[in-house]
Order: sequence, then structure tokens, then C-alpha cells
Amino acid sequence: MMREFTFEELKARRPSNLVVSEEFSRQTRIRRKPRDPVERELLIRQTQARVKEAERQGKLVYDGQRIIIRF
Amino acid sequence: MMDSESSSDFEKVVQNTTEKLFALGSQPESFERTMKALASITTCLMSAGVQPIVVGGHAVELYTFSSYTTKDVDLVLEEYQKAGEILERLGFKKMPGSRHWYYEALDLPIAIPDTILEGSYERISKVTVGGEAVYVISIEDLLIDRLRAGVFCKSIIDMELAEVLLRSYADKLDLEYLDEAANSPNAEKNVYDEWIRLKKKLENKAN
Repeated sequence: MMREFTFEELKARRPSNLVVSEEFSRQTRIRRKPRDPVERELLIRQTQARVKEAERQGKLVYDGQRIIIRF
Repeated sequence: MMDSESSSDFEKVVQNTTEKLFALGSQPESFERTMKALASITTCLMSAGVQPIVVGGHAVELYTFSSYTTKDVDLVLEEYQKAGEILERLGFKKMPGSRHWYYEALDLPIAIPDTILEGSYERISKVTVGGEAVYVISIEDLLIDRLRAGVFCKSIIDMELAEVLLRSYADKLDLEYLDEAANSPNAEKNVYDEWIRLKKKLENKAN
């Protein structure tokens, strides 16, 4: 069972404020069930295909170190 | 302090943004609608000298082109108090006991988890929405952040998202930067270990 922390306890450990903040929120919600390896692989392939398609359509552009996405 | 002319300009931007958000309420819920709202909010905050940067789950949704979805929007910006006041002027309500401001008609919760970006300001991405812009944490810093969340919260989902980002942008990522960020004094030792494990997995997939 996952240990429940108070916000102050989490903050004291502070890996980053964002992580602390998100974890605090998650404790009040139902955790999503992790995917099995097949579903995970499908998610990755689906995302790879969407990224390639966005590149092809010119929606996703690389400008040196920066990414530009156009809606 | 704003002079009367710039104050009047800002009032116009607030009014314009309020109207845009109200009009978006009649559109069906979608990622695009949220991005339009964020672009208007960004314009408004920028006109008050505050630059918001999207981090967290919404940034993952953007980079994965909605393979992963979330409702919360996390913004990092330097002036928490000022930004909160502007959000409330735009029609957001601070949720009692919550870290969120909420705009009911758009079902849009916004949180400000930090005033300093955990990552590089030089690398932030720009998303153009019509004639406006939304700024987003770089994909490298987001990947490290998911690894941190994965290690710290023992969250399989965050580890999974780090892998999704790595393998979807494998040939575009700055691996040297990622090596350094994962090995920085701020990161827990396990973050670097997980990063090396992910990198090896990527290499094995390529071979």
C-alpha cells in the first residue's frame, strides 16, 4: 500500500516543487492503473506515429535546441 | 508601477481575454480549445510582464499529440500573487483547499506549482496558436521531470511517459544535456540510474 505523506513531509524531501505538487494532488484521486507491456508498446508506437505525422505536416518544427509546434 | 497609458492598455487586454475565454465556452471540449484558452491567458499575463511556462502532464499531452491526456494545466511563472489576481480577473475561481484556479465553463483547472522552472529557460518550446503563443518546458527537461516523479513517487506511469518521450523523439533529443541533467546534484541518484536504463533500452531497440 502506498504511504500517505502530508504536503509538508513531501516538501521536506523536495525532489522538485512540481513533483511534490503533483504527488499531493494524486493522493486525493484514484491512481490510474499502469499499462501492461503490450499496451505500453502500443502507446509508444501510436505516439511515434503522431510525432512523425506532425513533422510531415509541418506542425512540429525543430529550431536548433527549441521545438516549435503550430496549431 | 504601470503608467496610465500602459494601465489602460492592460485593461483592454484583460477585457479582450475575458471575452475570448467566454466565447470558447460555447466550443466543444477539446485539447485545441484548452490551447486556445492558454494562448489568450499567456498573452494577458505577458502584457503584465509575467511569462507562464506549461509544465507537467499538459506538456506531456502536447508533446505526445494527445496520446496521453490530462485535464490539469500546471504553469511555472515568477509572480504567483500577481498571476493569481489576473486569473481571478479573467473569471477563474480559486478552489478552497486546492492548488487550482478553476474556469467552470471550460472545465479548466490551472495550478502554479513553482515560480522557478526546473530546467533551461533557453530551451523552452513555443507553441503558436493562431497569432498567439504558449510556452512549454523543453522536452529534455520534461523527460527528466517524469523520471524524477517516477523515482520519487515510485510511479510506473511517469516512468512509462519518460520512455514514450524518449522513444518518440529519440533522434532529436540532446542526449548530452540529458546525461548532465540526470546526473546533476539536484537529482536523486536513482534518477541517473533510471536514465541509463532507459537509454540502454533505446539502444537495444535500435539494434
